[in-house]
Amino acid sequence: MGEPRFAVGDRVRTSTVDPPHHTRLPRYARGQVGEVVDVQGTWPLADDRARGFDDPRVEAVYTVRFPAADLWGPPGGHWVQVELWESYLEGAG
Amino acid sequence: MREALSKFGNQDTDSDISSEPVSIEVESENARPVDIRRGGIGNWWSAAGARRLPGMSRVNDVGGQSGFGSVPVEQDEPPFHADWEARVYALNVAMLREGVYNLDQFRDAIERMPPAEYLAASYYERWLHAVETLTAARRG
Repeated sequence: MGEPRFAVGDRVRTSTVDPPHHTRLPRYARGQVGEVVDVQGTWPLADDRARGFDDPRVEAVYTVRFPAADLWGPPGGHWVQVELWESYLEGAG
Repeated sequence: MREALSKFGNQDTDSDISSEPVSIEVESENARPVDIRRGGIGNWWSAAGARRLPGMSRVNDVGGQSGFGSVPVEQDEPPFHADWEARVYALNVAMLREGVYNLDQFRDAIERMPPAEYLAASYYERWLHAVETLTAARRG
């Protein structure tokens, strides 16, 4: 596990993939652009643990916030924060 | 949201892991305001909806899904509503601590329940289902 790929303030896009096992990226937050607001250290990837892997990937976990209106439409007016593993994210410029 | 999801077994299912990553909704003065008069309800589905149809999902993943109504909050709710619930709780904690399976395998087993059974089951009925599934698989 190297340095976290993203930093506070980075914009990230979440994966659109629904894997056939337990994951921590909820459907409502898939394929969305959010902003990293905290880096929570590293954790074993839940998806790998769910599959019983002996050597799960250990990755940075980020608190990412999304405008509620982006997820569910108006009226919004607040943020939704989700804690997400690095595997779920790509840079969004 | 965290409370709402936990009712459907998607979030924290063990009080021992309260520090694990979770999802929460936060109020913020910095949140982007949405002007309903200018844009709003009339076409929200075309703007946001088109991007939020990622396809399949397991039955447990109901966050943001309409039709379930509000989450009732019971005043002075006891930890358990029946003795068997406490026994299921203790059984699961013992399995986790003994390393028979881990918490994510436990969650995965709940999520693999047949959808109709999942929706009809209570919180601890789902726990029992997962304990049975995982221990039976190990014995086999």
